[in-house]
Amino acid sequence: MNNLNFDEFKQAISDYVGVDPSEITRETDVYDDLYLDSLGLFGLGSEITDTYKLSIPLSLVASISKVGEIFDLLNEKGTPVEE
Amino acid sequence: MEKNFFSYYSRYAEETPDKVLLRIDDNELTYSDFMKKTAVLGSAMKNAGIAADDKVGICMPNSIEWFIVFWSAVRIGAQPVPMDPQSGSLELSRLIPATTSKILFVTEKYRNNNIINAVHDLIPGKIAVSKVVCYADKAVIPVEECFISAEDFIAEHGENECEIYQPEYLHTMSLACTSGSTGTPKILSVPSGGFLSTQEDMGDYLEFTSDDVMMLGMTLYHQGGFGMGQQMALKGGTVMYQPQFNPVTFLETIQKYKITVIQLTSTLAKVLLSTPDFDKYDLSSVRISYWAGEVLPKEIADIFVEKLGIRVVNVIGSSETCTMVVWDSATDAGTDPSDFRKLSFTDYRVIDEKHNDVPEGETGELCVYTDGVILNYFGNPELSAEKILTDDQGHRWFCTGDLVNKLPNGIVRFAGRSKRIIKRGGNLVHAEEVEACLLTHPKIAAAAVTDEPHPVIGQQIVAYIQPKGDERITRGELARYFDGKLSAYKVPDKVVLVEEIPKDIGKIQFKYLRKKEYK
Repeated sequence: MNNLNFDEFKQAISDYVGVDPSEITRETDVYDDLYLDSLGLFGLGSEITDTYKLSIPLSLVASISKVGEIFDLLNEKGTPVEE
Repeated sequence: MEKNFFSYYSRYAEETPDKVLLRIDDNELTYSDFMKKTAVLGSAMKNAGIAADDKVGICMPNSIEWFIVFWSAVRIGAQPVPMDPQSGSLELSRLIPATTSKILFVTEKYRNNNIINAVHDLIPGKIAVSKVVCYADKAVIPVEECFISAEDFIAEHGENECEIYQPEYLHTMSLACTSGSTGTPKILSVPSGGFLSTQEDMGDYLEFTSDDVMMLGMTLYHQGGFGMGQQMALKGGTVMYQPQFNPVTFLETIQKYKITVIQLTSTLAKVLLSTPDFDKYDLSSVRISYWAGEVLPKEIADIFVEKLGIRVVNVIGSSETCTMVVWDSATDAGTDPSDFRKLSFTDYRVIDEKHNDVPEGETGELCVYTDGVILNYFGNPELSAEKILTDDQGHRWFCTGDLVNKLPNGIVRFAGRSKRIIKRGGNLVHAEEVEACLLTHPKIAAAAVTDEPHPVIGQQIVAYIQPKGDERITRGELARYFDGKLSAYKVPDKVVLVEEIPKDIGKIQFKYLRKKEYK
């Protein structure tokens, strides 16, 4: 576990997608609510990696669609990026 | 009688009726079912008033039904027009009239794009089609004369027999659509004879056989993804697509069906390679990986060739040319996958602005000859004349817009694009089209769109925006504004607000622009 804070995570998502953090919950769908396509989701994945210096496999990002699932993935499976 | 696609399909339906021609998820279509289903739907189209050369729009994601609609239209000599199911109402409002589609086949939705709603919004004011045939639950189909379920359409008009149209060599088989730079779609007239012969030639070059099973990462509605699948179908093999790309399913499917040929783009490969336990998947059945749509980095090609022992064939070109020039690890190992050479059935020139060949060592535009080069841009003679050159022997050459360096020994090296095209993943995005949509936004005074390198998707779309007055605009706001108007892949990935977009005799100065961001 990386003990990440969901509110901070929401802010990071908000900064990238340009949707207000108040509109983002664990149930927010990245396709329907954040208007990303599958490539945009990889873009978001890269951004999160840069922000948190934690890496998550792109292939796992490809199979999820809720903000809460990305958060859990980062929290549970994120591994430190080697600088 | 000249050979055509249906002469192949009819033969395989006789020889190997139960062989799977197409598999998407758990849905299968055998060669014999293909012949029966195209007879029923083809006759239904005919009885509903669709004649040879009429245009049949298809706005559906990868599915067995997509394939049946496409080939049913070809069976009666009509011209299927595949449209990207991500298209929003703005794109469809231009595309449908430009293709003169008489009838449309649609699904309810694709991801978050509601296709039926988008089409419904345009009828009858903005588009004129006689019927919209819906592969959807009847509850979501509008109760209007124009709309009908596929089930009812077939029940009402279909028969079991349907004659097969015999096309002339230069007959237009289908219209392929790509988005144009100003929002005006580019519509490609695909030649019946030439498209067939180039797919046959490429299938021969790749040594495909009826024992092969091919899995494609690109889509059916993309001319390249469709054509590559046909190279296998013409050999009597099995072709597979995914409804939506999922890396784990892709790898599991390779194992399950002992796939022998995989078709990928660089972005898809990066995602596949990142899969945890990638090494544990058994990919030993795969003998060829077939690449298109993006620059293939050498590191990725090396992994496939050296680590996985899979032959890599990388092709360059566009929907306009069918089969093109290649880099093939079987013959070109040790060189960069961006160094290409011609095939025995293709030819190329590297030309300057006056269409003269450039000397060795120089950069110019890649111009490609194949028998499958499109006949013309439908409804656009000016663009046809600009991009398609016909030589003394009547061969059509296509000016690709790709800039290449002409190297010794017949090699060309990819150097970039001559137009403002952003290659985002496998999708081409015209900067001008995105700018045109941005400029319709009430808070935007001026906009300039460019690309930025991205580690996964190759290039991302960056919009520099000069807001009206003190307005502030976010990417989310733009995405909401684009929703339903343009495809989701054209939404800028990044929005940068600037005080002023400098202009220099109509040309936007992108280098300067990057320095003028708001603090």
